[in-house]
Amino acid sequence: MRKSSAILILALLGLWAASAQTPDFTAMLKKVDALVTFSNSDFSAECMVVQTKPGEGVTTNRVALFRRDSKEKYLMLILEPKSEKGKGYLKIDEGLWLYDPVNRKFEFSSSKERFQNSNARNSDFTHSNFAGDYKVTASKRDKLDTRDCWILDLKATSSDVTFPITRIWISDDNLVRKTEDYSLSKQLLRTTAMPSYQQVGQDRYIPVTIFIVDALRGKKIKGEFQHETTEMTISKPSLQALPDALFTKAYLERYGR
Amino acid sequence: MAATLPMALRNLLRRRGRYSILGIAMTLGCAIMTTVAGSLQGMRSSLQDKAALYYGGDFSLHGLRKDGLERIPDTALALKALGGRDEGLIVSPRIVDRESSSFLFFAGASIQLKMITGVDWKAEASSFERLNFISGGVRGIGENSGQGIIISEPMAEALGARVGDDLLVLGDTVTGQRNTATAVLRGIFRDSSFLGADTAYVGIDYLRSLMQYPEGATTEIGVKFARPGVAAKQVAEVQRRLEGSLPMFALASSRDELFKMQADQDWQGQRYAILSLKAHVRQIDQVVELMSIALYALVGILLGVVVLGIANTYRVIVYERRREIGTMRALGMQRLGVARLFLAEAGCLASLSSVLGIALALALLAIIGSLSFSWIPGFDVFLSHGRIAWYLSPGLLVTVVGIMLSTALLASWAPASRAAHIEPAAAYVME
Repeated sequence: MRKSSAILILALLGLWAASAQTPDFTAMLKKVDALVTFSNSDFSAECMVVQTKPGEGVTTNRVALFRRDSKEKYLMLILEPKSEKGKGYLKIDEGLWLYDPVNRKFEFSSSKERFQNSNARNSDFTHSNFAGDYKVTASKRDKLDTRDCWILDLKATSSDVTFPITRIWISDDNLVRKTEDYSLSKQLLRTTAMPSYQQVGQDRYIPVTIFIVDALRGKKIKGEFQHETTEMTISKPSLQALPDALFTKAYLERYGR
Repeated sequence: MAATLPMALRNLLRRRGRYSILGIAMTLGCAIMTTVAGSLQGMRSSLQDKAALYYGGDFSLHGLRKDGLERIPDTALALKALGGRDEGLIVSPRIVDRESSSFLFFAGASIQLKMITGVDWKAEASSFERLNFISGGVRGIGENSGQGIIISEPMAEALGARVGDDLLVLGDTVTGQRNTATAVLRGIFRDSSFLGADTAYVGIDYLRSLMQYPEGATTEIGVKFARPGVAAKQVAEVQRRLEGSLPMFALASSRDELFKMQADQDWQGQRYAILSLKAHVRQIDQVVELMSIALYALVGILLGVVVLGIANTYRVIVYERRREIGTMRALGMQRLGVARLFLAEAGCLASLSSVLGIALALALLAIIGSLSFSWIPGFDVFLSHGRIAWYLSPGLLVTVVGIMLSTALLASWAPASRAAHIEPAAAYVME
């Protein structure tokens, strides 16, 4: 009797110790989201989007990015190339609108759509919401290069997200370093790497570079399969207040003229 | 009267030199008219066939909600209301993703699908055999978990895929999540038209799994009539029968009209609608109508030229035979008899030309039918296995002969009338 009680107590202590070491992943995801969300100010930056299609060359877009995360609004304005200048993606209310300055028309788009036919999605330009959109289904510790990371398998709890299953590598400073995005049937669709971040303001961060590899699109060049890639470099971050008129269709129409 | 016809035939044979040019012109006119009509009939028939495959039969039953969602939530209920073979109907439920955001991938290449359709291969495979397959086919496609896919030649070329290759289908579930599934390429069909060029066909269960479509639900049911008949009448009968058991929209003459009804009317919940094949292909039909009008207008001009030719030739013939006419009149033939004789000659010439013209048209159609027209972009919709499947209905042949006869009689009426008024004495004085 005494022996069995002792074993039971030890087992319970072991379980308690194990659970004490496993972090609260929901809290971790909230921290991750918070570090890249600008809830108390506007955010603007310039983004260079370079897409490489094997055998077809390189396409470059220079984009001005404006975000008001507190109101879930953002505007992406194409600055270059000249042929695309004036095109804009405006997220207001529940809709994402694509403005074509040539036809002077707004077309309803989606954050799930590819940005300018690249491997980036429109949703890649805004803040993450892992805590709200996903639940953790598995976790483990591992290294990514030299960094110790938590690797979390996430399953979407919302149909608004682009990828229903995703795996993220979170370094100990609560920054996402890598993601693998999967289809519902667990087919790898793309891999995204964010090797370094830049601090913006007191305690907010933005990736310096986002490197996306499309798992499905590519071409065999000299016997070797090369994937389509997109590299996004973010520069000139600013927390300066932005005018309300910036997040309106009228602004896009004026700019397009 | 009884002697008129033999006399007319004898006159034709005796003057075959004079009538031969006219006969050749009429034969060619008849041949062109018959060839054009036969080709158009065949093209229309091929269009109907392709559209029937694309849209699921002679008509389709759709489920609609006020929010725009197209779904039949309880397919079994809808099938029960439709009836089956007992009601003379062959039914085939389908899941159709129109304005699809799906992609096909193979070896790094990708193409976007305009439409992906999930069909019951067991019920529809025999219909799909009518497609112009350049590689593979649908035989046995429904077996082995039915993960086969058939695509058009342009799509296969864009992917660089061949029959037997594994393609990856990337699509959205009904809740908007990205999903993928592998499908084996089983057939590549030739179709560069808007109907088939950007459409892929897969098994209904495969698509249900990819889209996470609710069990027991479909987007539409394709229906074919087991017995041929007047389609419009049969569709109206089915509409009347369904109105007794399902909440139905009125019959729409086009998809646009149905959408307008859906938006304008004050209603809630679930309703159903029948779209006939005619309603589905209304816009193409209008193009074919315009094409037919243009071609028939050209044929009309040709016939006009033939009419002028007949009229002029007969004027000369009457002048040349005025002594003969005078002699017949002197021997007691009445004016009506003279007119009847010339009209009978024209009628016999038209009949003979019609027979020869139709025979020539058959030869021309056989040549046309042996040529491939797939190289014309978008023309596949009017072809059967890349060729014009011409068709001459009995009604068409009767119409052609009727037109030839009326044309000849119309053209020869004035000269025959003039011949009838030649007085015997005047005929000899005219010398």
